Amino acid sequence: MNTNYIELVNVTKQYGHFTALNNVNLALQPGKIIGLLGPNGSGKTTLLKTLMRIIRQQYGVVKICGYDACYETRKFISFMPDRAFLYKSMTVMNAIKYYQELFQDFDMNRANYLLQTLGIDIYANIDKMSKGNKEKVVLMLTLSRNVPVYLLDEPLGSLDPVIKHEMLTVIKQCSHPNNLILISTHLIKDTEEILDDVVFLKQGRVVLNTSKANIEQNGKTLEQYYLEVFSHV
Amino acid sequence: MFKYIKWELINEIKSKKVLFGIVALVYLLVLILPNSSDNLLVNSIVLAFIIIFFATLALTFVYGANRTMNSYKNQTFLLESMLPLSPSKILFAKYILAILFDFVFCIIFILGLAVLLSKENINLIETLLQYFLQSDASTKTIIFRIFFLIITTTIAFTSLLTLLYIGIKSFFPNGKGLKIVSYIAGFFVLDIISSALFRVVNSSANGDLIYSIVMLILAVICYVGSVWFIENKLEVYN
Repeated sequence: MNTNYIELVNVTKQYGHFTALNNVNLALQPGKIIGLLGPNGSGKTTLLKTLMRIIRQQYGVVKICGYDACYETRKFISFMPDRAFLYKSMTVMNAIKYYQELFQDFDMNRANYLLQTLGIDIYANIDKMSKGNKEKVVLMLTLSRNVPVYLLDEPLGSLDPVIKHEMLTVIKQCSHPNNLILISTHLIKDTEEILDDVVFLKQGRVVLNTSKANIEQNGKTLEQYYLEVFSHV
Repeated sequence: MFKYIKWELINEIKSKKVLFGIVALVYLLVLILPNSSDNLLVNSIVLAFIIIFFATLALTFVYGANRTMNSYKNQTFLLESMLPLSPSKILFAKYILAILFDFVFCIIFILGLAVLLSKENINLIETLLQYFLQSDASTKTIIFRIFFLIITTTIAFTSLLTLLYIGIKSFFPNGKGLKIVSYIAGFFVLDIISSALFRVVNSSANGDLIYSIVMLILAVICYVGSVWFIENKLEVYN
């Protein structure tokens, strides 16, 4: 039985003459929090959007839970984009109702727990919230769905340390043997503690796919190793 | 799909509540204003009324199509791309919303006309209702056929413009002025089809019905084409 929740085989995506993903091969299993790491422009968001079928690869195969990626495989994924996407007039309560009505896998108990843990005011208007609180709301909505795959695109952005800590704690709590959490970020130091595996993406290519333990066995921190791979100095 | 329509409606109404409020206020002010005055305030209100009056007339024809095209821009598309709804269902829902909003602007326009005629002591709503209720079956049939003709032409226009916009955007994802190009091409194509149709159906007693059915077929073809582009070609970048 195929246990890969995410599988990419020879995937190439070009925007005009720019190659965003270059012959990417990747197979990711459940039960882990995986960091998709790389500098800006390395193809992280393109990879996540390809998994969501928001954009399409020119070459190669993308599979989600064993099925070729199409709009139907979106039901397996809960996606947190790196930009605002909810209606501007929504309050937190409206957004929860929206998710509850449109996603059958929405778990209200988990949503209540996350609301409490993250200290979110359900009556607040999302558009009038601070950036950090907006991110908390979107994370709460994303993680409140019961799906096999969670894709979090730059979930920590430029948040303050307290909010970062709260968000990382709930991400860790939501990790389960039957789900896969893929976090795209370049904030290595912040996410390091919760990651099980890492995938390094450089100029659209996967240059490393290993466990964090493997890196640490060599006596290096993830951040040190990242700097070795990506630093030009 | 209906839940999606419900949320889109709620969001649209909330985002337009100020606009609807201004329209209601201007209509009310025009109703209570004296018929002739050189007062600057009165003239400003009349000018606002004229602008709203003609704007709602234009929006009756293009708002739905414009809204459908806009919905394939970045933010909305991002939200929709997460929903467990097929692109065909979402597009169908957008057509329903387009017709609904065209209808809303049509009602606002008729209300504006009623306000205007009330200044001449004519009660438009009452007159229209009386005419409809007192008319015989054949007149009612004609009214329904005209209504059907307008609806099918609106759907055809919306779906044609959507197909053109999505089709062009599929090939030029970052292209500028795609909506303008779609409008020009859409008017041009619809004009050619309508002119050709008029020549054919002019002599027929059921010309309006034939025209309506052709418009409906055109809408279905454009719908199928749009869904194909969305499923296979359309990409929305940042």
